Amino acid sequence: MTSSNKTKQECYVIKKDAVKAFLDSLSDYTLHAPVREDETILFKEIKNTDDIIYDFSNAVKAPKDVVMPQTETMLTITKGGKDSLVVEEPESPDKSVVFGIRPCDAKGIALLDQIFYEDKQDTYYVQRRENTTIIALACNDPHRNCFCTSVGGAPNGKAGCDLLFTDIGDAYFVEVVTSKGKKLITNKKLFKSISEADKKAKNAAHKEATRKLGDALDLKNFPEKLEKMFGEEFWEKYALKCIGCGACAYMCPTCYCFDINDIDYKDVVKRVRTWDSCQFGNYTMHTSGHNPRPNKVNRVRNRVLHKFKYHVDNYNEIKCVGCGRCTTHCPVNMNLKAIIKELAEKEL
Amino acid sequence: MNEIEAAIQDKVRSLLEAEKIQFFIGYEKGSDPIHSAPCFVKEPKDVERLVWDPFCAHNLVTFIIDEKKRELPRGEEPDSRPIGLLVKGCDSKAMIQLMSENKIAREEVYIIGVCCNGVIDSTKLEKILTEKSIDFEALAESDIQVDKDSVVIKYKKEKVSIAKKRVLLDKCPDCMSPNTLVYDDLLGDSVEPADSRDYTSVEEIEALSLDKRWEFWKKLLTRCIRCSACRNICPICYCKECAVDSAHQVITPKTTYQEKANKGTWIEQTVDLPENLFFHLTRMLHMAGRCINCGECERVCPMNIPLSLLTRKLEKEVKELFGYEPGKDVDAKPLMSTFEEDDPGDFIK
Amino acid sequence: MSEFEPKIVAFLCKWCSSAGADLAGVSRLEYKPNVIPIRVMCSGRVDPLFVLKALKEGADGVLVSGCHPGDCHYVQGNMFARRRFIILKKLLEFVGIHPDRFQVSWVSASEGTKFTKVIDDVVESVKALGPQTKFKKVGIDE
Repeated sequence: MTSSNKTKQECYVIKKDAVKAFLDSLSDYTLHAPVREDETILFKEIKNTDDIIYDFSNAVKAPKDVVMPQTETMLTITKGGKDSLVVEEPESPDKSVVFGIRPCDAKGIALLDQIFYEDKQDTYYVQRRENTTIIALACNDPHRNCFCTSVGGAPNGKAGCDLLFTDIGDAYFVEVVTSKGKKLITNKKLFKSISEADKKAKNAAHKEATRKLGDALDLKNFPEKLEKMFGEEFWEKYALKCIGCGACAYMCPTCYCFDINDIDYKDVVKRVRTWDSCQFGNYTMHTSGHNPRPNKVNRVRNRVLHKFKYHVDNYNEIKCVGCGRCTTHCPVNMNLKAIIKELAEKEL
Repeated sequence: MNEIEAAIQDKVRSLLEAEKIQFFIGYEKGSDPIHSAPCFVKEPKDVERLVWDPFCAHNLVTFIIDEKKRELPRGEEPDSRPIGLLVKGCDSKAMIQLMSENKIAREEVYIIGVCCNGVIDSTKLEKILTEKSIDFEALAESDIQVDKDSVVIKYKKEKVSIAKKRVLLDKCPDCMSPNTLVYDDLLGDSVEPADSRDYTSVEEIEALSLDKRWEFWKKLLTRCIRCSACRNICPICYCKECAVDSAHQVITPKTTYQEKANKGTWIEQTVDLPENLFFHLTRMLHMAGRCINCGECERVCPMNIPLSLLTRKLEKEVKELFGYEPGKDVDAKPLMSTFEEDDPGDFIK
Repeated sequence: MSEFEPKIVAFLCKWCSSAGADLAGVSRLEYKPNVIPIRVMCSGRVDPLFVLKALKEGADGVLVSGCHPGDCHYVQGNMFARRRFIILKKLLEFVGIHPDRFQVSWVSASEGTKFTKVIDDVVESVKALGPQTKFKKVGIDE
């Protein structure tokens, strides 16, 4: 976990034209960074650092797949001899660096840590997580659907980050958050010491971004309130237009539900873990054919409650980072922020 | 408020007050000035939420199918009254197709038809607004209209005119059915349909070599995350159990691992190119002669995969091979459950 | 390295093509051994999904064979099949899969010779294309 190896705040500046040299120097790592494919912004494995884009709002899909791939082989079973089977675990993942992740998505990964580190550690996740260094890029121009400040985040939040870059005009202000991040700063020719003016510019950028986000919602007693709302009829109002696809969950930085299947590849059987979504009807389907969440109203309610109530009960933190993707990409324009606002202000 | 909007609200109010319909499905203001969202109205007092603007893109016929799939809570009697529905010209083809497949009976739906000049693609518009550095907040009090040749945006004493083709959804510029074909009430002035369908985008792909075509689709389909938005938004995809979902299989202690591994799945949950290709081809095969090209699958795709290239190809082939146009005639037999003696068969050895 | 031998999955209708294969067999006619025959009751039984699934499971080519138009044991099964397969063929071509990967033929029960010719042709044409990799499941081992 990243919280244990916090170091004293160290800061640098790196000129924008030096970033490429810095990223090129990370040749020991697999680099993931945002690229523009057609009109779509995606996090991809980078072969050529020229492809990386720096001027973007956020990627369509949260880069959580770096630590939790959509399809992951858990084990492979092959025939050893006549009556024996050989079970093999996959090789441990490469060391990787994610560059350009937004603070909200980095916080999303910190929230995933809660799930996969508590109680029992999930080996697959832990291996990837330990091998991943996260370089976040603070948000200077939030998207109109963003609401990170309402759910305990900030456009310059450090949760989950190892290094935090902030655009201050012709350079990036670099804050070292963890010792893991510090390890990347080897070339002091690229990372220069900061001046008072740099610090001011950074603070001004953060302040401006926070201002652009507007007023935060008051969600202080919201989880307790939600508990009383479980049986209410108004859930139907929100759920009726849901079409039950998985776009919101698959785009979401904090959704972590998965499904495990054994897949037959002739002489090899692979146990594969894939993403799943509570919005799919089959998600809760029992073998008997009974479905405890038969209709979309049950499913939509579950999604809201899980994020704003159940997770708060278990880990004392809201499981939403306010990236606004579920609103932006919802086929029927379901507006999570508006739903939360309406519920939080509702008189019971 | 425009005339059509007022007329919709009046009509729906009177229908709800007379308890002639269960509820009405129309559009309401969305999360920002360039989106509208589906809206379910059950009470006459909520009628004011209904809007009609150039962002009303959703094909609402989907929700009729959705409602049919809903499991009734124990003790609830099914309501025999029709459901009220706002239907654009293109969407009405879905209605006709479903009626011809006996999936929906005409009397199950009360249709308010509306003649449509075209709907705006919010993604395209957003890009243009960014180019012109027009602030979203400025658009809050705006008037956006689609007229014969262009989209006119009026806000704060400013006026911007954008060519239709640049900003409307791809299905709109060559729309052959802008006027609702089947309705109980029809609103708006009749709109002149396009002369012919424009298959340039499909022909461009056809002109590529096999390898180039494959590279094209490979890039796009690798991107697919299989969120099923395209399938779920589709008004024509109504199966309760889908071929691309894992089938239900009863597992007992005696079920062997081979049986579990080989359970009746056509498609694996893994997300990779062959599975994604399988998913999309299967969807298209099941759409052949049924897809009415409402373009919803493409609009909702969060990964921006141009699925309407596939649906347009299908439409083109079905028309060329069999002279068949889905969603045109309620009495037409579905394409795949009929045949002609002289169907093209040159591909068979 | 040995020469590439394609693997062909053939869906043969019970009444015509499968009987045609039997006739080829009892007549001691030789044809290429690359075919995995799957007997179905009618070519109309062949869902295009079968074809896609076969390609996904690693077939290099797929052949569907049924009765000649008008000869169908179920009167019109093959006529419905014809409509379905042309759409499938067009779609496969559209996404860049070679049309020879999926072939259809009409072979009657008396056409043992034609059956051997169809099989040989299919094998030859698929062999020329090389292994089918585009549609094959990721991670499937030979």
